[in-house]
Amino acid sequence: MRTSVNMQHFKYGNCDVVVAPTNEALGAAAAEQFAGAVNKALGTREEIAVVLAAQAASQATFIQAIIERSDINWSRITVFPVDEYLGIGGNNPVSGQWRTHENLIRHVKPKAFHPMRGDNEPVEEELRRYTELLREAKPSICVMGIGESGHLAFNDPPADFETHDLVRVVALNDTTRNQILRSGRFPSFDAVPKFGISLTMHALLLPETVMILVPERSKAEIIHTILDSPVSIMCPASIIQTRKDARLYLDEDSASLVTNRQREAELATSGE
Amino acid sequence: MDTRKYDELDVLIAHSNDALGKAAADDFASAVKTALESQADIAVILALGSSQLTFFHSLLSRDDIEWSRITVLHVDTYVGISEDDPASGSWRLKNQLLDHVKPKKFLGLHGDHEPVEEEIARYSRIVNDHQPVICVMGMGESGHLAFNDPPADFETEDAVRAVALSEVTRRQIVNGGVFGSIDDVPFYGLTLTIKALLRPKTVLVLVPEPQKAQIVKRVLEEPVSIMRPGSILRHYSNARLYLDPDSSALLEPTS
Repeated sequence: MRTSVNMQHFKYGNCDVVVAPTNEALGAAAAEQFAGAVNKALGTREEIAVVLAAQAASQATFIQAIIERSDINWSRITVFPVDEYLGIGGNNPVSGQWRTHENLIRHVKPKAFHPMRGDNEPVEEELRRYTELLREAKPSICVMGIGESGHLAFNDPPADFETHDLVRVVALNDTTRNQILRSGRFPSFDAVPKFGISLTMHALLLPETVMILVPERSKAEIIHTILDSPVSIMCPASIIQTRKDARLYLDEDSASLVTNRQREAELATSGE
Repeated sequence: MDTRKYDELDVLIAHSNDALGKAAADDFASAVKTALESQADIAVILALGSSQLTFFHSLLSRDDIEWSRITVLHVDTYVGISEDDPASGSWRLKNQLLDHVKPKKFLGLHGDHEPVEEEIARYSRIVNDHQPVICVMGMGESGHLAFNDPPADFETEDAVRAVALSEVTRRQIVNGGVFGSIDDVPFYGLTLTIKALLRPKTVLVLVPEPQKAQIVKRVLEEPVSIMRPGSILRHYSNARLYLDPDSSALLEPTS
């Protein structure tokens, strides 16, 4: 991939890490990789599916950048979200579905958008329905963030690295619920949902292209922790160090606590 | 003693918590005896908590259980807390029962072992090697079996997992008096999985006391769901649920 000379690169196990000077530069670089991956996939297939965490504020510069690009043929792309709150329907503005629609879908008009129905009961039925959709679609790209708890999608610690299920109901931990509270969408901690529906770690890492976008100062501590962590279910995002060709995008703020030792140790182990 | 059936599950409603403990101890002793007829020694899974006290009390008064041929495994423990810590399940299980009955062996979970994945692998081997024939446990206010809080994994074939403890469970633990405040209660546990708990030939689930009335009603009368972990008992004909008048108080009458 072509990136600007201002980008710093190092390795986290098998995973590439890119540090952009700003959140905007991060979004632009990630959008360029995304467009390249889309066009490569559409070279061999009539249509593709992508998994996007477009509901999340951390993905805003990337989402804006892919909306502005003219080289992405959205009429051949189906969009899946990474997660949803349990018990909250798509008509509710706090739902992931509503925000994904606001932030992305209404601007780009993809071939299809398959939201999770957080209020479908029993939840087991929604898991079955959504599993079928994902199995059918076989997404080729996943772009997501990392939460302050270290989660990917809603897979808080201890994450299930083993299951081959694609969708699960999961409990949201206090770190995640506090992060959600700070987003301002819920009036109080007690109002924040306790459960979510989430793609599993397996489902998130299955696509051939996996991009993890983590800008902002609020993520600096967890990024530092992840880079020091062995692969551990107690630090879910640590799994990405095993994933060849995955790419973690940071900006100067989220990388502000990354030490020289972390950058150099990773370089040394990667043999570069 | 009132008996009922909820799907596959036998439910016994005892006249009192004491009668519940006695009935469960009778069934435990008889399952032990049967198992020891065909095996030189057996393994059983035991839990801990106020719900198990009348059962333990009744076991302590019996002399017909050959504990020297019984290996005891544990259902769950707190991540980060060692077996020597009085807050650990192991310590209290020894204190309340095992030090008195002296089983062949007790194999506890090492909650403080790091990395946790290593302890999960070690204890999984222990569970799979011993093939326990009896499991006796309670059900939490969250509906959990062992530490399998909602949403519980009914499908996994793993024997042991690390799990997050829900707020309901952490509050119940505070009320148990072992920890000073909710901030002291661990966030994670190691637990036998649902399938590992329900695989033994005999599964006795002891749920006395009024604070369980609400969850007992939901688990038995609402649909079987991962959001109500104990509801899965209704799919297991080898399980028996013991209630007392307090915990069964909200149940609809059955014909």
